[in-house]
Amino acid sequence: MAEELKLLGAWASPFSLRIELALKLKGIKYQYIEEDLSNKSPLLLKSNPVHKKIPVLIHNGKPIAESLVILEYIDETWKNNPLLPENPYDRAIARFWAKFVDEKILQIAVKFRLAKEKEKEQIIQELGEQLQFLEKELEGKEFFGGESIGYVDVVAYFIVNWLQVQQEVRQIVFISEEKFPVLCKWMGKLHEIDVVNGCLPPKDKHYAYMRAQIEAAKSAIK
Amino acid sequence: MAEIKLLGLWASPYDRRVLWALKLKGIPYEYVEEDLSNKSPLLLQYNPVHQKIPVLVHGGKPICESVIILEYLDETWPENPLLPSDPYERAVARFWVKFIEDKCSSAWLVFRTSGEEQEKAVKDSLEMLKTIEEHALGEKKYFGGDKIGMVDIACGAIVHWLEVIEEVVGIKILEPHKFPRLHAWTKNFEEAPIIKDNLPDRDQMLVYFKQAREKSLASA
Repeated sequence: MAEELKLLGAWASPFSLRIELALKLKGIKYQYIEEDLSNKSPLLLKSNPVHKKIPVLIHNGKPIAESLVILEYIDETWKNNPLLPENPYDRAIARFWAKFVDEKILQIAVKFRLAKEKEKEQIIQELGEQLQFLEKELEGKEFFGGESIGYVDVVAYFIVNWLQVQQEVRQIVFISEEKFPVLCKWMGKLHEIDVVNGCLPPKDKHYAYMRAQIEAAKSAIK
Repeated sequence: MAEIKLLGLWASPYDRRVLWALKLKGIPYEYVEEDLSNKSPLLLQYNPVHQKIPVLVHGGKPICESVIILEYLDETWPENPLLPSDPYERAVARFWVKFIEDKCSSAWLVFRTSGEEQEKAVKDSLEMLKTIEEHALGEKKYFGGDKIGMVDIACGAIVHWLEVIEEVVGIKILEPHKFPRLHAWTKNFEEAPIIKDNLPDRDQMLVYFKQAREKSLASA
């Protein structure tokens, strides 16, 4: 059967990038379609009428939305190089941490973006407390998935990368090597793997984009 | 067969979801009622990250978050499945479960707030219900078809609690004429065997939530 796979994404979105990484880790061929989020395509609006957001995976004409849902679909449809562990308990733990990253970590990071100066220190502390849970979970392991890259690694990598880029652009420390040696080492390891770092947006473009976003947020707060 | 414990709170819809799944699959378990104003060492040990219920403990190993627990139950006890077997259908089901999880906070806000804040929460709740009515519910009896599945359980808890919230705050949100499909689905769900025998006592719920609302408004 001729397989048709399209991914509607955005080059700087950690949610879109995690899907690309999953597809690449499994060696799945797909057509990538960059969406202009200020001018959404009819295909996107038709494929995700509820949220009108990326990423959307369209497999033989059938659309799937929500990045974690897409990851599970990919794992169930292409069973090579599994992302989720086999054992139900370990799968539950993996799902727990993926949800934690997307809800707790990301939520606090977004809060920071919109915060007033005087609130920022408190938020950085909050972020640190939550990152400690992640640090502890990773202790003694190569990756969250164990010996090889798994579901949580794919989910968390682009979020933590986003934090690291924010750090450099804002000149603020969110995730120091001193406080988070395990997480930083894990990121270092992933940065060295071609299929993983190949998914990252070009550095200069990404930094410029982040700077523009920060400026826009600043004017919105005033 | 390893022992199952469910740490929960009788008035929590998240807890209720897990209970329904356990009953639908005929899985025996021991229920441990938690006092959230005085969390047990067991709860703190089993869910150090969020310190919330429900927590399912299977053979001493804890699983947290109601939806994650539902997936775990479905994978460990595959009879009377909560998810379809086709990967695409599963993705659709998971999409709706996530939608409900993300949007149901508006229902809690209706309950916890007043004035302008509450008005916005009512508006958001109506939008959530409208999306479910228009996009999620087909012509079938339940979200998944002829049998109760994960989306029904996830949605059922929220809708059932919404009925109590509506009475406590005196605002009708899920009006039958505005949401005919949802209304019909709610009746089917609440009258289904096992579900109908495992609904929380309405009078007790009203007392509990009236008190909770007073506390919430007082601390606002």
